[in-house]
Amino acid sequence: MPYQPDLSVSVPELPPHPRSEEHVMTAAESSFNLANTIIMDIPAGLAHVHILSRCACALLENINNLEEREINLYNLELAIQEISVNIVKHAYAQTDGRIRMCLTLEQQPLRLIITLYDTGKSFDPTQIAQPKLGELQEHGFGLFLVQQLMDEVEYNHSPTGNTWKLIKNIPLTLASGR
Amino acid sequence: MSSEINQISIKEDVKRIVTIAPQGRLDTVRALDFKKQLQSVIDSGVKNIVLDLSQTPFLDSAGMAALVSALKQCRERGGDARMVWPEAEPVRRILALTKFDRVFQMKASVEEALASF
Repeated sequence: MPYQPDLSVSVPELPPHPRSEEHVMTAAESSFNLANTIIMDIPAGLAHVHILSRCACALLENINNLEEREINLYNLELAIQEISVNIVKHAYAQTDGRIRMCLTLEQQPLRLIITLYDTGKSFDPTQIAQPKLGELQEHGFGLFLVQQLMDEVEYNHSPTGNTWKLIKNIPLTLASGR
Repeated sequence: MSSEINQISIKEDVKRIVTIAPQGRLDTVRALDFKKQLQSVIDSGVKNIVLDLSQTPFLDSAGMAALVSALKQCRERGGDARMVWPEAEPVRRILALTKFDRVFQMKASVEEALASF
């Protein structure tokens, strides 16, 4: 049977562009943002979450002089995977839902902004204990890894849904040219 | 002339050690199957395990949970587990970041891991 998207699931609206009110974008900036923003909307299932992380990595793969390429791509993939799996397992608790991801590659400074939205149950990050490193502990490493691997991690929830915002500064080697 | 034969006691100790080597990503999607396989090995009476991650290119928190679960179960049965370092540098860094390299006895190769029991 062909795939039929579940259009009954409401997807939260994207937030306004952070510069939209106080800053009139130049044509060059506008063009850049359009060219470097990707929006994806996928079913919230474990079989699909890798699509989000691979897409983000694909965006960075275009940067020729990305420092520690293999490490940075891996860390990005892992961070997005952890948040996406968290949404599937806990926000939606394996029920139907969708995850929307917005990727923006900003130029000055060069950084990737990843926003993940869901309409599942909210989550209280303060209730998540930090793992006791070096001890025999099975759980609690997911959010820890995200916090360690990303430069900024924010979580917000509102009546319309939950938002994770991850920011990764993109380190470049001294070699010139992108 | 009487001959006296020295009595010699010969005893052989054989320690059963099973090596488990995931060949692909050890992530949320595959961790459940991996955990089931580990469980069936442990349930068969094995209490010493080598977790060979040399060919594991990706490890997430669910995969890590499966590895710790294996170590716990081995120790509860009076055994232990060794881990062979992944070849993939990003995975090695994750193991160091989470201090898994202190929780597990890390070895450079399966041979070294087997010899350490």
